[in-house]
Amino acid sequence: MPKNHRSAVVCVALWLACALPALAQEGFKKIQDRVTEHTLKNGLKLIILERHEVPTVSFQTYVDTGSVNETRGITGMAHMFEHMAFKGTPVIGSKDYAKEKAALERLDSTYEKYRAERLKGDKADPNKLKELEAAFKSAQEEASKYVDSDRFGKTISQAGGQGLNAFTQADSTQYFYSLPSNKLELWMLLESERFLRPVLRDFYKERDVVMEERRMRTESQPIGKLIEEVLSIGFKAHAYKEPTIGHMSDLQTLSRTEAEDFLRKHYVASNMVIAIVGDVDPKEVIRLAETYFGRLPKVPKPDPIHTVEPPQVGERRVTIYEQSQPIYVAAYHKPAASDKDDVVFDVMQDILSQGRTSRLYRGLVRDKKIVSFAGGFNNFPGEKYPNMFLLFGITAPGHTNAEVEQAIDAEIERLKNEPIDDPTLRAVKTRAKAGLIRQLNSNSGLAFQLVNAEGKLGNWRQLFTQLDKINAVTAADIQRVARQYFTRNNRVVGVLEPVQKSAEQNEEKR
Amino acid sequence: MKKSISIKIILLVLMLLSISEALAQKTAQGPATGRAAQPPADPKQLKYPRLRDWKVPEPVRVELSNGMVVYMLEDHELPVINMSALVRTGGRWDPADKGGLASIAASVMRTGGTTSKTGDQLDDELERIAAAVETSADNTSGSTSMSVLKEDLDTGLRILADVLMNPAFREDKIELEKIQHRDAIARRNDDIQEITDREFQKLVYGPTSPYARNEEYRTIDNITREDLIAFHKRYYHPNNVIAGVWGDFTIDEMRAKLESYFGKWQRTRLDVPPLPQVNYQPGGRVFFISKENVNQSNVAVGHLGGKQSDPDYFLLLTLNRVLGERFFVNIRDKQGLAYSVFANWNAGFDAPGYFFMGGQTKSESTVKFIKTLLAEIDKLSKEQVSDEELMRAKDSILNSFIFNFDTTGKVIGRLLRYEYFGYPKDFLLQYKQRVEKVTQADLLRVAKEHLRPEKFAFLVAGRDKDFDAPLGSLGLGEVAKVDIAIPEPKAAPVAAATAESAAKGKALLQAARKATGGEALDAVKDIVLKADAKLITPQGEFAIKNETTIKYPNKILNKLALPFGEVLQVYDGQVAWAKTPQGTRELSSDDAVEFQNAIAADIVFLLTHLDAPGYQAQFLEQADVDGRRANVVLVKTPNEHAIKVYLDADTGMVLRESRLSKAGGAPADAEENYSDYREVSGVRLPFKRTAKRNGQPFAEVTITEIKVNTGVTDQVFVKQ
Repeated sequence: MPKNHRSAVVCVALWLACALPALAQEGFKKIQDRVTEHTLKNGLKLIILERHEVPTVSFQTYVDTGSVNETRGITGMAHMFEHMAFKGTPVIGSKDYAKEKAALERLDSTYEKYRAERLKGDKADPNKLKELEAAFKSAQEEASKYVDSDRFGKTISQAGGQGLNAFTQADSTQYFYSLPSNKLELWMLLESERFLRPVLRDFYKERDVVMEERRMRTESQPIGKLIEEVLSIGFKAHAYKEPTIGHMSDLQTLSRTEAEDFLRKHYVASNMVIAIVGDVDPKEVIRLAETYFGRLPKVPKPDPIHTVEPPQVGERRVTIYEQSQPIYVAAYHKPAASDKDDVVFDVMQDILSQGRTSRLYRGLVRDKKIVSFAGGFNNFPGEKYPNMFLLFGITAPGHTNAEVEQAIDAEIERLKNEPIDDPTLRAVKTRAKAGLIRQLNSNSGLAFQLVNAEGKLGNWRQLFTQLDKINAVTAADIQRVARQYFTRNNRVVGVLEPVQKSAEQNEEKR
Repeated sequence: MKKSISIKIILLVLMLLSISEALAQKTAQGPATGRAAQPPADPKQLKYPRLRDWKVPEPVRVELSNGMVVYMLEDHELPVINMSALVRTGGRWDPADKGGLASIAASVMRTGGTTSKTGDQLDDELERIAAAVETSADNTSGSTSMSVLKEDLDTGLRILADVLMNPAFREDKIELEKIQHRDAIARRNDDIQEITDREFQKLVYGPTSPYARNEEYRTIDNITREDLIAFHKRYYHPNNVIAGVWGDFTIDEMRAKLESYFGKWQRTRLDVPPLPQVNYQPGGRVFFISKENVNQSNVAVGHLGGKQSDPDYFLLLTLNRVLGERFFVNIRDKQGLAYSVFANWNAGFDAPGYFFMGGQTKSESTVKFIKTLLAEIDKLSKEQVSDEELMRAKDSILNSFIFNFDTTGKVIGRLLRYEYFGYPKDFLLQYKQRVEKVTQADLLRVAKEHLRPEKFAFLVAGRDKDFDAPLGSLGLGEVAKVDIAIPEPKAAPVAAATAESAAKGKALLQAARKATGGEALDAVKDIVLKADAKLITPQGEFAIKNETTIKYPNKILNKLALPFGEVLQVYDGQVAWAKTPQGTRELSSDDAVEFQNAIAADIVFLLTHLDAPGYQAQFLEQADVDGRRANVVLVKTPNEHAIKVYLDADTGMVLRESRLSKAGGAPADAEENYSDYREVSGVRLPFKRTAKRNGQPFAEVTITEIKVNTGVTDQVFVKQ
């Protein structure tokens, strides 16, 4: 009898525990049922999700190319091209395309000559260089005369477009905005034309803009400098080592012709996934997509990257001295997001840094008071290829990076040595479910999630099946993965020390 | 269950239809080639269907029995419920010496737990169910929010109500919150954009204005648990709260729950202070912040603006669109001068906002960039915008109007803000109606009236040795350097002097005495300083004339020429008194002590009393004073007044003094910086002094004349 009684209680408890995820699962299923998939003959994939609450629609174009697809000497090209994709077409953005085209051809040839002379460096003939530069500048001004600036952006803005933008990552390049839903065809026209017949006008001026972006994000930002250094020593073979924004000297040398080559190779239909979420009729979407995007040629996907980062054989460290308060970063090599163990890193990220019950918060912020903030971050700087799990601490005034390093190391050892208790693991799983639910309330957010799951993990349904994977993670998995990857030889440490300290240290050495 | 099946069937039908229609199109349009006709390449050729009719969701407004206002909106798409509330309070009401109070108090309401649960227990309970209850305050309001999965609504409401009604303000969490604030202070000069935004606001509102001032280590240190309790008691009452709740519930159910969780909360007579006034004119036009580790300048240009209730506000927003578009095309696209270039008509709800334009450009194009911004403003206030520009600005506002309603959270949030700041519910609709009627003449008029280049303040942060031209070449007067040094925390208790530190302190002061004039100092019996001073006050900057006479060892007279007449402040060695146009009065004994202390800090007095009985000196540390290395010596006077003296490590001269001053009543950290030393009667004295109070610039003094041994009589100091 007592035995039976006990088992009944367990049953009820279990039923409660299972029932809640089951309810959510049904909600997730309903959303998945509203998705229509369609692949055009040229290989372009469409994911359409109907949400009829408000007459708006959000678009997200995922291009499966990023800075990792660049080769030596053209770093920054993927991002540079992303900027050029806003410059219009022969029809959009030109005052007289026939003349503009001729002017752009002249610009290309004068730039090639100017660049060739400039690349001679010390051996360049200064007079000739001046002459060629003048010719280039004048060709540039000539071509500019025919430009109807930002016509592409103005057209979207006038139509009521919202959130027009794009970004380039190591793994991908993504373009997005939203429109009132009656303007669906406008998006079809603009988005297909920008990749079918882009005109790379004002290239060299936009290159200046990108250099300003580099100065702003990296060169004038202490933390930007630190991250660039950590990546550069974190990878020695794989292109994740390169900054997505590009090296300044490469930016100064990129040409319009190289950008067109990059476009032809990577901006092909088979390399694109598009998500359309909102108040649309999927049938109408597919009909228009066939008409507009069906025009993109059928070209095979570019070859995958074959370079594999070799195992790291010893700890790597970098210290930068800056006019800034101290920051500590440690990164451990780990497999790509497609690996079965990736989800274990997601769980560890939650345990370490999600909220005020997380271990880094309680250990370092609340109890030791040595950081004002600390966190973990999975899949850095990208997820398609083996990457890193990043940990960071924003060192509190009066404390040192060395203290933070020691405390974070202690938390890492805890993950290896103590099994996670059940309530902690259950809370992680509950938060994963709730987190997913909360992501489902905006068209643009959903479009982003769908193309990323499809583009990087191969299937948009991964957005939902990820939950099952998290639910399957055990305490033993966490210990196993922590022990396997969180080793000293496998890590890269970056520290930012205030500049005064370095001066003092130098003095001590003298 | 049934619903999901029916959706599936519909989807299937739609898919089949779409295939057949695509096929039909092919046969219809391209029998010869089998290919569809080319679609248009020009957007002008497209015709759009009318946007389908759509009803703006209308939240229900209820007032609970205790006066708490709640807007409610059902949204059954996801099993989630959110609540957010505004409380009439904010950092702008923080006492000047407790900057950071509202922010700290509001945060610790949640993190410090309630009378029955610690903050950690609340964290455990909420995070286990992936829920959140948070409280915070910014400058103009307090905010509280809750987000729960539907099934956890009761837990969320119970905790939210407990946090609002019964916060316990446990000390450990107060200290933790203070650490976060101190960290933010320590890091506030790390990022050049943050520096520029912050300092620009100070130029617009004044450095000590509640709309722009900084939190400092000292103001954080001053905040006590009692302050937090008093803060909660003053502001957190149901009739001072406007809340909104939206998500998967029914109105009736929610209303009953709110009454049950918040009903016990008693309404009270409110005591919210009036709004701080905004009224400031900066003392110059061009300001510069030196930042060595960057290769790009941050530029901010603008002036004080208006409120959203200004009848021209909607026109200014429209105008700002045109300006923003011109900046993007003319400065970014055509010249490649910036990645980020912007213009903002930043209007406040209940206090003046500011117009603000700028961006980032490489150091070598700084002045060119500023001139380009100005040229655009000039054009905007001289010529009407084009038909096309007007049309595009209007269309883009009107066509994107729907996005103001695309989430229930946006709809509710807007209504809360409107009611909180006393704006009409249909304010957004008024915007639409005004924009529909806007003309080119309207825009030209508001450009002329509201954009006033002659009032612009210019702030540049960057590395000036790389600039294309000096900022002075803008022709807008002298370039003022903005000091962004972070004031030190309140002096930590100083370690007791050791024989060694005392000896070193004494030796350093002796060296300073020698460098300043040695025995010539002993010959100084009185001194008269005439000066032009600039006072920096919350009301603005004032230029005044000042004359100070000191008769050593204990008499001082300070004569100030103020706009409303002459003021004397005098200490005759026993009594302190003041004379104003209103008459003469004796000052308090505290003021007398303050005069004694001020004399003790006088360089001549200090360096002639090194061996006087009761004076102690102690070497503390080395420090940086505006790029010079300094030895810091702590001097204590016989009446226990402590003066930190910063002596130039190379020349021995006094660079800075800091001490606690009680001038004007409240104790304040007073810092004086000395430069431009010149010789007068064998003594080297500073002709330039800059003063700070509590880390804020307070006065800049240029001494025009120093006379020594004028033979001033005691009679001059006697009360008239």
